[in-house]
Amino acid sequence: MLALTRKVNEKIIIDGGIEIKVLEVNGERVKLGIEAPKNISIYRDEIYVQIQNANMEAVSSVGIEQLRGVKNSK
Amino acid sequence: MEISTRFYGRVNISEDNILTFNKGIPGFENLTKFILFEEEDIQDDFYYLQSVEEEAICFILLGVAALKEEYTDEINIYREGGKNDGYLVCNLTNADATVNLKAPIMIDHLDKTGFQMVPETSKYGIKTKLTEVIERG
Repeated sequence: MLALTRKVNEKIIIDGGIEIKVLEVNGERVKLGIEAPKNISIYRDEIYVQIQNANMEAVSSVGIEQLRGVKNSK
Repeated sequence: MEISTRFYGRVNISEDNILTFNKGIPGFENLTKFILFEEEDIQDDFYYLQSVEEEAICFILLGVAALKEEYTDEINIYREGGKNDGYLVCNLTNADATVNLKAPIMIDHLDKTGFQMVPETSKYGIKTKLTEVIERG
């Protein structure tokens, strides 16, 4: 992994089009500002992982016949 | 062309109907080609999103039209004025039926493209009970 040291208000640039700026450092929290083209997806890692896990669970769903019970209970 | 599906065995599909998910779907980033089937046996609002590349991977989706209005506000934003249609990933077990209201799958049927929305914030849960969100007929 590439490790770079930056101060507040300093930036790194990725691939010419993506800028990441350190906005604020407050104890253990670091606030980053990111500028990137609209087609680049940016997520907090934990949100993405949560959705990955939900999808992996969902593809083991039982068949849709299970829903007959749900429908009948309407 | 003929593909193998998780729930319906070998199925003949038209290549024109293949949807491209450029970035895959979280957890399945390597799969980019899917086909959407409507579920006809149960009721009109359920769909299968079957991977063209991998038989075992098939999502069961609920169309957003089936939702109570109070659950549609976030999804309507992602529709970009009607360009995209929204679907929720269902997780069905023998004990429970939930939907992922937080991260809907958006499909542009004209462009034949789709993606799963990964919102930075959402007031909705990733496992919301199906019976809570569907409009009772």
